[in-house]
Amino acid sequence: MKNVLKRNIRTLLVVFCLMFTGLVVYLGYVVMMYGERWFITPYNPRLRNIQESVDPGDVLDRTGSKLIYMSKGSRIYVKDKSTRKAVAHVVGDSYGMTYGAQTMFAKYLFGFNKDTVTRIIDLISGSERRGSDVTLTIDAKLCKSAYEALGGNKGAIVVMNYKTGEILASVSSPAFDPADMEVFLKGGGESELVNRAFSGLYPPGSTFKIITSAALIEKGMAGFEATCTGSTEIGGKTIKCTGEHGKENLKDALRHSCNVYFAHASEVLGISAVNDMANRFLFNTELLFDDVIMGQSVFNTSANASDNAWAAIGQYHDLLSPLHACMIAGAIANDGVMMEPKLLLSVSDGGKQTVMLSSKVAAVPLRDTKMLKEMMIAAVENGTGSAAAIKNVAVGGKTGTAQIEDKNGKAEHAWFIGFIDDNKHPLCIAVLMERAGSGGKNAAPAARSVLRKAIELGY
Amino acid sequence: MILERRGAGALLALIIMFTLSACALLAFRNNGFDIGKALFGVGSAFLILLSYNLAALIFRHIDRITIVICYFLASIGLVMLARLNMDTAVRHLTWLALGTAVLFITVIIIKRASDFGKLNYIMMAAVLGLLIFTFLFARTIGGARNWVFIGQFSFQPSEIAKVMFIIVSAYFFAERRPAPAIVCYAVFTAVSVFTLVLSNDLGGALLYSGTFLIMFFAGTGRTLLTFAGLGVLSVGAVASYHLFSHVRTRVEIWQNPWMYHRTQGYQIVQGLMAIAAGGLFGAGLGLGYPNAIPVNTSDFIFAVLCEEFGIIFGIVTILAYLVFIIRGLIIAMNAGTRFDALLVFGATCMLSLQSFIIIGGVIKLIPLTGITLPFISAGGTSLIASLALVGIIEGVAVKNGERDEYEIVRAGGEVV
Repeated sequence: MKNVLKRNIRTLLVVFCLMFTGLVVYLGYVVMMYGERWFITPYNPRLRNIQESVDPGDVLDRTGSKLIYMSKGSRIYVKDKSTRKAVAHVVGDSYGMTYGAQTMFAKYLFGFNKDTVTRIIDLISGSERRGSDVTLTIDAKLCKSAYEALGGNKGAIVVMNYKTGEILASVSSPAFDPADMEVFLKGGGESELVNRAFSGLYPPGSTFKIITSAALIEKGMAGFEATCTGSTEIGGKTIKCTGEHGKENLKDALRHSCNVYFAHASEVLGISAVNDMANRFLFNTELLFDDVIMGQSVFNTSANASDNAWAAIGQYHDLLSPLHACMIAGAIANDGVMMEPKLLLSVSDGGKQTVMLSSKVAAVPLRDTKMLKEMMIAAVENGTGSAAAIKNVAVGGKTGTAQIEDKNGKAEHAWFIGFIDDNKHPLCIAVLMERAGSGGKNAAPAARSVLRKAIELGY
Repeated sequence: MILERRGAGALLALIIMFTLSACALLAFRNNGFDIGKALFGVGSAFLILLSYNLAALIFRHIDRITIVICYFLASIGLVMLARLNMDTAVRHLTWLALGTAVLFITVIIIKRASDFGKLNYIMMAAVLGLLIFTFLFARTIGGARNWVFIGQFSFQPSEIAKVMFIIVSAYFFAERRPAPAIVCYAVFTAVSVFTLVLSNDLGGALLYSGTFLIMFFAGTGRTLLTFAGLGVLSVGAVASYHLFSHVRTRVEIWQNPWMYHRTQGYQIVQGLMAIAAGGLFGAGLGLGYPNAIPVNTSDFIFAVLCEEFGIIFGIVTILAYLVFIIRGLIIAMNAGTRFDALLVFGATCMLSLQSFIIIGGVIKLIPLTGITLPFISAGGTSLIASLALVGIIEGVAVKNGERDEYEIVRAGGEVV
C-alpha cells in the first residue's frame, strides 16, 4: 500500500515538473513572440511617461524630409497640412491613440533600444536623454499624391516595392491631423483614427479571382472553359454577371472579371483547393510582422454550394485588408515570393546611422506566376482594368467591385490591385475606395495616377 | 556508514548578498541616501540568517534546501516590496519574523503528532466556520470577498483554513475510513469549495478543489475516479461559467484582455506590458514603472519582478518553486507513515498549485484568479499560512531524519 502511494507521488512529481516547465516555456515563448507587441500598444503608460524625461527623436521619410521633429522642447509636425494628413496613420499621434511609427518604433524614438550600460551611464551622468531618429520607408510626396488620388473618398492606398517589401506610401482616408488631436482626446471624432490600409478588412470582391485563378492553374485546370449567359444558378441561388461573356477561357474570364466562369470553375475545382490557395496567400493566418500590425484576412468555406461559389469570387465571408491585397499583387509580380511589409528604413543616433531594413519573405504561395502575370497585364491592356494603363509601362492588375450591405444600405467598394512588371520599377499597389462603385471606373484611375507619380519620383 | 546532511550555505550567502545589494541600490536612489531602506536591508538579511541558523540548530534534521528556497523567495518579496512601498515592506518583514516562529511551532507539533484523531472533526468545523464566516462578513477587496476586518486588524480566514484543510485531507486519505466519515469529508470539501465560489474567491476555489483531487489520487490511487473527479470539476467550472457572470467575465478577459484594456482587462494588460517592458534582463531595480499595475504588491508582483529583473529572473523564480516542489515530494516519499507522506504531499501541492495558478494567470496561460504568490506577495495571513505549510513539510523531514539517524547509529554509522 505504501508503495502505491510512493508511485503516485512520483507520478505527480512528473506532472508538476511538466506544469512548471510549461510555465517557463510559455513565458519565454510568449514574450519572444508577443513581447514587442505588448510593449508598443498605445495604452502603455510607459510610453507616455517617458516623454517627460526623454526628448523623442525625429521621424523622417526616406528622402530625409522631417515628418516630426523637436523644436524648443515641443513636438512639431510637418508644416504642409495635406502631407501631414497623408502620413498621419503611418507616423501616428503622440498621445498613443493610434498604432503609428511613434508607437511602433517608440523603442528607438525614446531610446529604449540603448543597452543597459549606456542607459546606466546616461542616468548617472544626468545628461539630457534624447532618443534616436527614425527614418521610414515611405516617401511623403508619394503619400500626398496617393491621398489626393483618393479624391475625398473613404478608403486606402498602399504602394510597396515588391522586391524588398518596403512600403513607399500608405494612406488612409479620412485622416486625422496629428497636430490637432483635440477632438479625439475628448473622445470625439469618427473613424479617422482607424488605419484602413493596415487594419481595415473589406470583402475583396473580384480581386479574389486572382487566388481562384492561381488554384485553377495549380491544379492543371488552366484550360477550363465555360459559357457565360449573364447569370447562372448554383446551389439554388442565382449568381449574376456584369455581362454576357459567352464561351471563354481562364484568361478572358479574368480579363472580363466574369462571375459565372469563376463560380463554375470553383465548383469543378472544389472549394478546398481555393481555400488551400487562400491560406498559402496568408489568409486566415495570424501574421506577426516586425514593423506593421495588419488585420487578419479571412476566407471561409461553407456546406452550401452557392456560398462557396460566392466565396470563390470574393464575396460570402471573405475579408481582405488593402495592405494584404498589395502584398498579393506584389507576390504575383515577384515570381511567387511574397515579401513582408517593411516600414523602418534606418535608425540614427548621434550621427551614427544603422540600417534597419532587412527584407524578409513572408510566404512563397506559388512557384510560377508567369501565366497569372500575363493574365493580369492583359486585364489592364484590354479588360476591366484598362483605366490603370500607363503608356510604355507594363502594368498588370485586377479590379474589384465588392458588394456590401450594412445599416447604410447596399453599396459597392471599388478595388484595384496591381503591379508594374519591370525590374527598374518593382512596384505593387492596392487601391480601395469605400462605397465608390465600380473598381475599374474609380479605383483603377487612382492607381494609375499614383503609379505614375511613383515612377516620376524614381521608384 | 556516514550520512551527511547537505547544507545550503552557498545559496544562503547568495540570498544575503542579493538582499543587501538590492536594498543598498534602493537606498542610493534619488540622489540621496535613504537610511530606512539600508536598515531594512540589514534587518532582512539578519532575520534570514538568524532564522536559517536557528532552524538548523534546533532541528538538526531540517531540510536545508527547502527552507533556503523559501527564504530566497521571501527575500525577493522583501526587496520588491521595499521598492514599491516601504510600509508594506516593513510589515512583510514583521510577518516573516512571526511566520518563522509559526514555522518552528508547526515543526514541533508535526514532529510529535501521529495523526490528529478526533481533532480532525473539530478542524473541519473550524474550516467551514472560517469560510462561511468570511462569506457572510468579509469585505470585498480586488473582487474577492475574503478579507475580514476586526478593528484595525485585517486578515484572510481562507488562508488559515488552508492549513487545516491539508491536515484533515491527509487524515481521511491515510487509511480506509468508515463510509459515514468519507461522506462527511466529501460534503465538507464540496461545501468549502462552493462557499469560496460564492465569495467570488475563484483562486481559492480552484486551489482547494485541485489540492483535493491531487490528494485523492495520491491517497487512493484510483486513476479512473480521479479523472471522473476532474470531469466533475470541469462540469462545475462550465456550470459556474454559465451561472455566475463574474466567472464569465474572467474567461472573456483571458481570451482577449486587450479588448477590455480600459475596464476589467486593465490589470492583466498592464501586467503583460510590464513583463514585455522588462525584456530578458529587466529594466533594472527601481527603473520600471510598476505604479501602472494594480495590486502590484500582491497578485501582480510577478509582473513587477519580471519588469525590473527581467524574464530570466522570472524563470529563476519559477524554477525555485519547482525545486521546492521536488524537495517536498522527496520528503513525502521518505515519510514513515501514510499520514505523514500525505501531509507533506498536500502541503507541497497546495503551495505549488497556488504559485502555478497565479503565475499562469499573470502571464495569461490560464484565466486570472486572484491569489497571492506564496512567500513573495505582501499579505500577512498568506505568508503565515505558507510558512505553516513549510512547517508541516519540515516537521516530517525532521521526523524522517531522526528515524534515519536512529537506524544508522544502530547499524554503527554516524550522522554529520
